[in-house]
Amino acid sequence: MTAKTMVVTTAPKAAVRRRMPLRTAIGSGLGLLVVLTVAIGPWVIGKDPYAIDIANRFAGPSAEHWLGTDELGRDVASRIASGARATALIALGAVGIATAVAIPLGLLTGFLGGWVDLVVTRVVDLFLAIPSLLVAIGVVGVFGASVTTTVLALGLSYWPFYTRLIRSAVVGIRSRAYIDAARVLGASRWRVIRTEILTGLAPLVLLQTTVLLGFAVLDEAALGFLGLGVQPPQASWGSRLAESREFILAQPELALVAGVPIVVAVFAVNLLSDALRDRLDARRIS
Amino acid sequence: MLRYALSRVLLALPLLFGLSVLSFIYVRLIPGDPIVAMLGVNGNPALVARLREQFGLDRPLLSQYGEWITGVARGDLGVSFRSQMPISTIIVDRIPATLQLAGAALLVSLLIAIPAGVAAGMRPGSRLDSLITSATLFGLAVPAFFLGTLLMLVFAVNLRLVPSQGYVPFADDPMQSLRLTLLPAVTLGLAISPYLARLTRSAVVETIQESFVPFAQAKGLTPRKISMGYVLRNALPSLVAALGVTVASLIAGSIVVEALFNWPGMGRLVASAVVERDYAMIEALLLIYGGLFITVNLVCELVQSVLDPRVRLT
Amino acid sequence: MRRTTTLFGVSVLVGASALAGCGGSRSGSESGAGNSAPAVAEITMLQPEPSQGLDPNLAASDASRIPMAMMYETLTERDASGKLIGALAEKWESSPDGKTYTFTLRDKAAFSDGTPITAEDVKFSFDRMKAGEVMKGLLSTLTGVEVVDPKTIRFTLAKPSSVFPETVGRPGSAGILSKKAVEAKSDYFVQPTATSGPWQLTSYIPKGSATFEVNPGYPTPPKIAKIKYTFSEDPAGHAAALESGSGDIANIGYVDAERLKAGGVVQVLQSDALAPLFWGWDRSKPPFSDKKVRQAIAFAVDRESRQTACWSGTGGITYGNILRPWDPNYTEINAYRTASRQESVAKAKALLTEAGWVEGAAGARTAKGVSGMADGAPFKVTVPYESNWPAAGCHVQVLQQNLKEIGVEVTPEKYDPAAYWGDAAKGKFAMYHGGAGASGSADLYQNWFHSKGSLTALTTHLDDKSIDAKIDDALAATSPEGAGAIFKELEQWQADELPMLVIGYQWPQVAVGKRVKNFTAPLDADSANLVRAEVG
Repeated sequence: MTAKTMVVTTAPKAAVRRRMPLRTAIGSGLGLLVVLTVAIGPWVIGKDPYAIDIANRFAGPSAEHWLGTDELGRDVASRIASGARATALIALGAVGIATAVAIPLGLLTGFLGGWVDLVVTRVVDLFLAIPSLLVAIGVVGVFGASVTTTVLALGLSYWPFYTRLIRSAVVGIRSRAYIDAARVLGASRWRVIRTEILTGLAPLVLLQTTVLLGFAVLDEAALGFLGLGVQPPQASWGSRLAESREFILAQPELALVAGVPIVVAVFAVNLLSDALRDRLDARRIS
Repeated sequence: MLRYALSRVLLALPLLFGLSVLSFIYVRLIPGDPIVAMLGVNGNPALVARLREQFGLDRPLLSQYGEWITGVARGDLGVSFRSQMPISTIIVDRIPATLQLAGAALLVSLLIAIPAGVAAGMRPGSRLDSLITSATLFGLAVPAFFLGTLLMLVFAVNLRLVPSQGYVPFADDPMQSLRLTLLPAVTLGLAISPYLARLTRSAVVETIQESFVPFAQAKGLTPRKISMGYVLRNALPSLVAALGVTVASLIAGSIVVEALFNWPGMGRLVASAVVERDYAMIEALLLIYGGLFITVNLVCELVQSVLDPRVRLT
Repeated sequence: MRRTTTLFGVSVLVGASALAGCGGSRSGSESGAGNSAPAVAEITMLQPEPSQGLDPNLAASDASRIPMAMMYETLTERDASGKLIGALAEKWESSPDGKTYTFTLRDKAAFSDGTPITAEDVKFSFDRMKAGEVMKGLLSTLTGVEVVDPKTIRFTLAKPSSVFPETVGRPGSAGILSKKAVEAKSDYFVQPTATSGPWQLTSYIPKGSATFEVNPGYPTPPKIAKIKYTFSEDPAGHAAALESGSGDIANIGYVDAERLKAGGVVQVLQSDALAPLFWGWDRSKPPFSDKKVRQAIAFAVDRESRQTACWSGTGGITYGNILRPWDPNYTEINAYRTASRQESVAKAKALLTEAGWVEGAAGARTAKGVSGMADGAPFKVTVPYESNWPAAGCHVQVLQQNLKEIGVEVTPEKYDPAAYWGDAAKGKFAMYHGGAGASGSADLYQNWFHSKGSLTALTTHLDDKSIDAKIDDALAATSPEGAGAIFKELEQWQADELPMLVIGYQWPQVAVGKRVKNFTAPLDADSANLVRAEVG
């Protein structure tokens, strides 16, 4: 009897969800793979990603080296796995910085409006117009190449655009009727920010953070391509891809092995953020 | 309307001025020096000092800025350290190549993105929509330089269908010029089409939810007619408003793609000017890109304000 | 290679096949995407942009000297076998005391605007060179340039010199300029006209390309009439261009060179160039103020492995010399050669211990009685390198591995090239990586070791009167044997005193498309090999 009622109650739900989950499932699967690589990859492979073995350079895949060796005879699999950690750290750090700057500034400008908004928004626009390449070169030039520097360089190039986004979201929420109602009812500014605007913003921030994570992985690769990535011998996905490009004609499989993790990780992030967006949209409409 | 446009332009001017000050100070404060960058291992300190003096780099920042900004006000962007040529000449020389690549890439991306976006947006939630959306999400995950390198490897090196790199002005040899455009344009086009396809899709989805579509369906118009005639035309304003994103991604993409395929466009100027600390060139490019960015955003805001008069109030 | 095609075909199939379709139909049955057979013999070269400009008095890098050598001809040059022959000069003779040289110009030689090249132009060019940065060191003994008649010019030297005819043939740098043309325009060198070389510059697009067309007034006109000189520095892109036929001559990477040599699609020429890769160090303070430490490092570096790892085994190795074996002043030195790697490491460790760097926990070296260092301080050094040079990164990583074996901790530091040499000059680096070129023994010792040398401040940091005197003597020696003896002494001295760790060289790997015939490996920056080449 219980079984019967179960079927009846769950069937319609399944029908609604069925379309999305395939993409979400793929995204979750790939995402899990990436998370596993970051978490236990180096331990599973158990090789020193820095051990140079020049006699054994450009060796193909074998039981000893699952993905072969690179131009200095280092184990590619363990470099990809330890690079995954660096890349994940960079992506999370950069997005963290951007979020930490963007939320207060966006709230300030969006909520207060007036001349504060005008001035800060123009300053933000100013930074928006500066190419991130210039920012990155400056940061790397001052602090030297490292994971921390890459975090800083990317974080500094994301905040202006993120701030604008938050600001317009805050303006949108502020103009809604219930905020006015709350203020008429005598709620303080701080209370309005805390209760209404922050809760209204949360989904957007969650979504945007996910989207930015994907961008950060791609931009880390681009910085590596321009020679501005992490400091060798440390590996990151971007630096691995940049290093392998030198040998792309002779050893294309090295470039593929370096490029595929980037594509997979960003694809997973994109699928998941898209699913998130759909869900938030659906909630907003309902 | 006119007043709104005017006020936006007036707001843009101080922004450009601020940009010039900021960039002027910034590029001079970051480590590195155009003379050191130019001479490399041949830069013995005495020579570096002499050239710094010759180019006026040893003078106070304020007087350097004063000289530069008065030049800009007269329309003189200065001289590039590296080539010693006027920057305006260098930039004007590159406009044809830049436009040729940007135009071709835009064409490629429109050919992919508009049909894909419309097809996906007409039936949101369908299997086709799901497929196209997944494809765009995948496309967004592929770094442009990785894609370009792969395309070059397959179509130029292995299949020998097209040249791997180079540029010939269209007027000199139209056929060869087009062949050379193909790989960079496809790379750049593929790189920006996911953005464009997603924008198209959401514009179409929004339009469809408006009431005239069911009305057209009721009138008995075929889905094809609806998609092309009604929906696309009605979605167009929001697509124009998305121009900013497209231009921004074109600019960002062109820096990488031009370097990869040796294309003498503006993108290569940006990358090399920054690496070489060609101060006057960086500043000129920042002003141009800044101006472009502001203009595009202005156009977007104007289009939006036509669509939604409330925008003017903010 | 076919295997790779399929591999890549699959990975990009989804996105690109439809688009490639339209491309494919356009190029249609045309096989090999080369140039569409122009009426004139035209080739495409991929070369770095002449980043230091085209003024021979200022530009010393190969990137500038190669195009300058195409535009400006010198009095003498080397033939395919390396023998010195006349270029603009038909012949020359020296006085018995070796202090006067008289050059006779070729009758036919003319600038690209048609005006004949006269002794007046030669005088103008040398007066200019003597005041300029690049040649002033090599011409320091030149006291007088005198026009005898329109086709004859006499040089007077303060000291005798046997290498003077070589010096006046320094490609690009010692080029003969048109007095009239240079004096007519203050910004002449932005786009020089009326030039003496085999080709003239007809267009220059910064960060794009240049075009060279033949100089009709050149005595032996080149067979290649037009050269598209595309600015590019990506070796992988160059190899792709050569393989796909969109380029004819380009420097390529070492791994690609090995592959292309085997494949036979293009010719790969390798030249044994004197382009030393060196480690510079700060000898004014510890640890490198101690000669024993410097020698220990010289033993510890694995020269062969580095050349294998970073240069695919090309480029040659040295265990003490800087000069190449082809140099007339070369005498083999093997100060740092041992029977095995273990022996090298043992010698290095012993030297470190002698210098007061004792082995501590886990083999790490720490100071014990090293003057200027606190006892117990670890031997740690940060080694910067130019971030835009992949081989440099490779070297420093191999160094890190090598020195770990003797307990020295190296931290590689990728450095902004726009600040690198400026900071090296300021003495910011304890040890750093570098590379530069020289045309031979005279050029190398004058410019790297002499206190007035153009590269001394960034390479050896020498300011030693006795070394200066030795170099002056070598340059002024009247006989090749006399010069050779002094250079031998100098080579011995540097191997012992500052084993600067010129442990390898970078040899240009030039890939040449099959349709270019008769092109020989470049000996230096000169274009003589290009003049002899033709398109078939």
